[in-house]
Amino acid sequence: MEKNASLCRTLGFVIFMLLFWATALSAVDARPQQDHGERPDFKTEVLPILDEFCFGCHGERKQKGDIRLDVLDPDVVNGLDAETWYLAQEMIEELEMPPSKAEKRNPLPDASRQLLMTWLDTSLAEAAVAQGERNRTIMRRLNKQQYTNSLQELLGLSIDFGRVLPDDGKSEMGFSNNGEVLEASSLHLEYYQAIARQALNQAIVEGPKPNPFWIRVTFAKGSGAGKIAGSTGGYQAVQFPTDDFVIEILGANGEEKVAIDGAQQKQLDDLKRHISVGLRGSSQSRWRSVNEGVVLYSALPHKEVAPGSWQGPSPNLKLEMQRVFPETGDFEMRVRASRGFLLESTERLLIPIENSVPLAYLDEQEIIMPREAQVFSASDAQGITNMEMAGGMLKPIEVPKASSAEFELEVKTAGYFQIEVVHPPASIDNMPSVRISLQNLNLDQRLALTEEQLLQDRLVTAVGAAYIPAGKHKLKIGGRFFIGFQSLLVTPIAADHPAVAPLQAKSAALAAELGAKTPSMRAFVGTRTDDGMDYLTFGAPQSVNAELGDAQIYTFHGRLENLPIPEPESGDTEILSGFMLLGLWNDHLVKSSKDPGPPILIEAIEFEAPYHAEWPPVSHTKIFFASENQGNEEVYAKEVIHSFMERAFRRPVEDDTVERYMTFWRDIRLDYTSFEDSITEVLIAVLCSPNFLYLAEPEAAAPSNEGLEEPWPPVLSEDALATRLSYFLWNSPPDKTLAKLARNQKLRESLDEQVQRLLEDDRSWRFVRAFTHEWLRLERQQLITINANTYPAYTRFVKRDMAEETYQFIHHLVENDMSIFNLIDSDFVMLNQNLAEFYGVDGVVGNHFRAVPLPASAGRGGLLSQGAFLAGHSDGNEAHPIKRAVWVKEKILGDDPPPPPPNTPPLDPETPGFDDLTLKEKLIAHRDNPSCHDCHADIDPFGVVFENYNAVGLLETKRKGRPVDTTTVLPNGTPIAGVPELKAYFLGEERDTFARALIEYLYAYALGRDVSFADEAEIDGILHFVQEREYSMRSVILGIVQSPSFSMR
Amino acid sequence: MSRKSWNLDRRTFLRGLGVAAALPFLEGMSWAIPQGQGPVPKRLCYVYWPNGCSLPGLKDKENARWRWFPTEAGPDYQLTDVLKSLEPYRDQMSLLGGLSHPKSRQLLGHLAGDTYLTAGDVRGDRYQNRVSVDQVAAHQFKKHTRFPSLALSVDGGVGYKSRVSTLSFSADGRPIPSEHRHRHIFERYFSTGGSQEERRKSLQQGKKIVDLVLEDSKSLKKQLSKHDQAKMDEYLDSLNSVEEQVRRNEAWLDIPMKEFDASNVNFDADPRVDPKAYVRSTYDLMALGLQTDLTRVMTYMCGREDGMGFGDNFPNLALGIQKGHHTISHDTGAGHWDEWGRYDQWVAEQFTYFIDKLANTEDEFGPLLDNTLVLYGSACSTTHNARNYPTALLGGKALGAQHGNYKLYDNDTPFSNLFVSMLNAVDVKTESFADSTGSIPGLFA
Repeated sequence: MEKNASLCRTLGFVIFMLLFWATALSAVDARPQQDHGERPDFKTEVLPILDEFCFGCHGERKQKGDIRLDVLDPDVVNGLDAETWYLAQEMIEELEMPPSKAEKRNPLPDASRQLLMTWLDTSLAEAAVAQGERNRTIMRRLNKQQYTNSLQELLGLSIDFGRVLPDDGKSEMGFSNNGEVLEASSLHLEYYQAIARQALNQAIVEGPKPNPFWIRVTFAKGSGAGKIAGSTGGYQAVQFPTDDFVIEILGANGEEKVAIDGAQQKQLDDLKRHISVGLRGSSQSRWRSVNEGVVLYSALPHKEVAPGSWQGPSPNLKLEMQRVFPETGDFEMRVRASRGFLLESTERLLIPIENSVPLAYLDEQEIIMPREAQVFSASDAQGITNMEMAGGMLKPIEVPKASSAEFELEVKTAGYFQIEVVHPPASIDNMPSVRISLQNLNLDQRLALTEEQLLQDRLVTAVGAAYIPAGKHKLKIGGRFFIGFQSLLVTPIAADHPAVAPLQAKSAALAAELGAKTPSMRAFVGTRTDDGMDYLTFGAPQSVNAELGDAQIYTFHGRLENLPIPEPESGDTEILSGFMLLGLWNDHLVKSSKDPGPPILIEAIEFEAPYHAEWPPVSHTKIFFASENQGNEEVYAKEVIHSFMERAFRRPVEDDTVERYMTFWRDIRLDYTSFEDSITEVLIAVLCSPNFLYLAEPEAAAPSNEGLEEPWPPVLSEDALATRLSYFLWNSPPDKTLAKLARNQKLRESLDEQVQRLLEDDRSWRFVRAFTHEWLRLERQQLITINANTYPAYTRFVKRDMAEETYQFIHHLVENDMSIFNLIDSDFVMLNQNLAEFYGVDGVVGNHFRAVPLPASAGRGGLLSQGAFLAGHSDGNEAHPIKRAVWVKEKILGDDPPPPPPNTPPLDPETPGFDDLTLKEKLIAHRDNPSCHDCHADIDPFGVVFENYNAVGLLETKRKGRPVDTTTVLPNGTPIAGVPELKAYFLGEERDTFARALIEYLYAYALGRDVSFADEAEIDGILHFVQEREYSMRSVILGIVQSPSFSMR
Repeated sequence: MSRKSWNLDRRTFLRGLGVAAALPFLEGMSWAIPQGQGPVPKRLCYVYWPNGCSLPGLKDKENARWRWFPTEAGPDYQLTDVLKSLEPYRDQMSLLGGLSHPKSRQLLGHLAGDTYLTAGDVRGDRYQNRVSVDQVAAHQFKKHTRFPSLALSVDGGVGYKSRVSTLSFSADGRPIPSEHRHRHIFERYFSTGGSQEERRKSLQQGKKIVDLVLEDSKSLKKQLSKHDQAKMDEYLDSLNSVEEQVRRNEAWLDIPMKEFDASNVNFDADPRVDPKAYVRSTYDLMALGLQTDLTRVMTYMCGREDGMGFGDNFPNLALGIQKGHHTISHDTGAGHWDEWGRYDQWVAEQFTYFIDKLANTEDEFGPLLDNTLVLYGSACSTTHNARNYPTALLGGKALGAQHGNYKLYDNDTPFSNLFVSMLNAVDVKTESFADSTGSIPGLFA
């Protein structure tokens, strides 16, 4: 009885919905209703008209636009050509056909047009009804991403399970969730079985919590002296000094492991020898080992040219673990860090002085010293290397080699000092140089002496200034190609001395500026390769707000299987192979080597793998939950299997189906010693069942009484509806709430509310990413090779953030339910600092994305001005108007331009001056060719307007030395100039064309099938629904969810 | 090399095992061999050596004999000293000049080894390799043989990204570990004892699961619309073919190996002592594998790039040249062409040993060489130059191969075009592989 009641509710709802749609449809059908009446006879009435007016261009001889009409099946209803007839109908109806030129010659009489339309309308209307039957969503296999998401949700593991599966095909509209296209092969099945086995082996655990591989590396200058650590060299190595870090091997509770005997000690030592720290790919000027740890300046991406491009950005700091890392499991990387400091601050100052004026001077043969000067004579020098006394001076023995002499300097009051050297003359050809070393700071100066100075036997030169703290310091002089010296002078100067003041001010200003910026950390894992590293970042970047001296621990979570750790080796013993890299960089990316960005101080890095927050892990207890029947194996097995099946199959599972799996279990139980192992075999089978792998959609059972007048509509069961909805808006299986609603037959009545809930959930990101990626073909921007020498600023991070901009943009529109016309033009742009700097937008600080209001003059609003589209549709060197035009026509106008005919003449490089022409100019030459003109007149305008956006989407006013020209004439005859006027055109008369195109793409994605002419009426209905709701993003989604097709099989 | 006396016993034993196990069943069981299709086994072998080849300039008359390629193209080319051991096979050989993988041309030559059989893209910071051509063929042929393919090398394993030690990559672009321990290879692939029970158990495990899923699928199908039922049939078909493969595998367990004689294979050749014997043992095993139809696809990486791996010592051990192979390839000092050329010659001589074996071993369809295509090459020409791969194609008389020529190609012909031609010649019908733009015209009738 209960069942019947709920069925009646469903029936009631469906009837209501059909009525709603009938009303909606009749209300919207704004086209003049043709009096369909009798259908004209094809052979006697229609064919002669087609023959006279159409076949000339679309017949045996010519097939303009790749369309041939004379071979179409006149039986529109049962034949296979309804779709082409539908296209013809559109063209004739919109007066695009016959084309104007032909019309002048031989106009199509109104009566004939009317007759043709009547025949087409009546035939197509009937065909749509017939097609509707065949046009339902076909059972869909989970595509790669859905498979991964489903398995992750089911098992509670974050492994990228689908990575090894073959790529899925794409439908004509570009989607990989299309039932027709998604095929299964035996290769798939072999993979499904292998993946399921591995996955369950990871999910189900045995015994006590395993001991993790747990190490901590702590950085501090000099702390590692005499301790054991590895050191890794090789091509381009940038080694971190082994004296400056300490490795600790930690036990299960995070305490340092202490060896109880020599053998154990040897084990620990061996392990440490396989762990080193490196900064390959980092410039020495962007990091330093200091007393407190390691200072990392903001990372500077390399230009994408080898060998730099094979490295992470500069600097990047990483632990290098050779053949000592685990290969599976969750892990944690914990970094103790705080804000860092500038390596050249006022307190750490040793600077050259421009236009130096020595405070000492030569008077005749005597040197007149300032009274306060401390004088260090060469004859008193200690620790002399590669120098000898000659004529009262210390001079290098072998000039090209480094020389050095040392003094002890004592300063009573901290302050600024000028450093001067009394030295012999030397011609510039001898590369006369001086190196001054104070504390850990070095200052190198090359001296350029005048002709006049060269005539003297001694000279005084001020080589630099320094801030020197009170106390005793080592002061050294020397260096390669050292000029030699008689004495060294250190003289106090005022803080406002012209040499120091500007620098001090600049330094303070820089520190203040950087203090206002927040550094962040980005973690990565990779494999050392011979020429670089193969790496991927994991987790989100984290802002480092901890103040210097008050470091905090920042934790990054990852899963080893998802990251490019070294492949298992074959007993290889090469000294440079088998390295897993675990590292980070300062993610406040900068664009210039002069910009240090806000520095970070890294104190320690910890790596724990595998990491288990609890034991047994959730993945295990999700399957083997606590039950009072645990004592009874048979009963408990059934509980476990039944529960797993219902979650895997996304619907209630009948007893006889469970029994099938139970029979299997009983059959194999004795083959396995452990209960868990025997259950695992059953669960593998569950994960290979089509009930899991397919979105199978059995229809709701019809009520038993046969009294209905109309045939029972093929309504989806509520469980299937829940599944459809969640794979639409989450690309994942339903959660508990959805499943429960469906089981209680309450989902249909709360669809609106559920759509809103699903969209508020973070999982809606999966929908945004999957849909946006395929709808807008974002892979083009990822795949195109941009000429790195022409566009050095287009780094991998700009490339990544460009795609991210588009995802963030779509998400922002959905999240805030904004008007869909923002897709054409918006008064804001989604930016982070990195991308803003690339676009030349000021004032965006930090690498998280946010909506930035921008005036229209910035030329960045809407999809049409986003880098992902513009760069993805260039040829890597120059803008490509045709690629851009085809995309715009498809995505904005929903109009798929015909492919070029096979005999298209190529752009002719023989044309005089061809190399100097821009692509637009070459196109114009191409269009002048009469055989090309017809199609290109309809395409080119939509690409030419983007001419002022270059190959990486930046605005430019000149190309090949001439001003860029964005003027063009739209197919309807309107002259326009540039993107703003194109946007205005789209937002004006093409408003609904665009809305319709968007609806069609989203509809195709939601249903997992391409749109056909038979969906026309329903799409009209959704458009009407959207119009009534001010074209908001969510109204499109809601309109689709409420459409009959979404609820029917 | 010196042989320990017990080796002899071991070999005798091996022969005994092969024959004893095979004979009583051979005739009677042949009908049961689970191979469905055409009776003639068609095969592919890929042999690779690292670091490129000796190729003095055409003007360098003095070192002309150490050019890997002949001086003149066309049918009347003169083999230099490097390949002269292959002279007897002129009419069963084609030399192809100028070929390379476009995506690997800019790579440091050593990295091009990673993509030799894949045409993958490993430029830049993401290593994106793809399936190797041998695995494409293996996927089709595996239903006829015990093993889909065999990946062999001097060093074994996969090496590491950018310096691999295998030529074979799976469908998802991951390296397939190669094998190099001869005795181990023999025991794993040729012997019929040992882990059979374990294998049977794992097969049965898989079979039971497939059975259950089949049952489940049929029951689901009944609830579906006609439309969806068609889709379900596709799934059922795949399930059936998986089940068939499991059955075939099980059936193989009961079918004895074809008769073979492994007594002349030196399983214990020590590369440190006698690299020639070591390399030849690999070739012996390959010939044996083809003869017994163990598999129809093999790759052999005869050394690793860039001075890695043991093969780098071969010039020293075999010819007394006091340099590693990699060093020789970089050397520009006096007499360096002589050293490089001599080593290339040595590598070619071992390869000729393999060709001799294939030409002189027959199965029921004639000499093995007639139904086997053997590609012999490397991924650089001169030092680190990943273009103009030294390439020789041998065998396949019965597959329509049109040999006897040295042809030159330009940059517009991707190396993959050769793969397309070879695949089609062995009935792996395909129009393209990776970045191919067609096939190599005229190579096959």
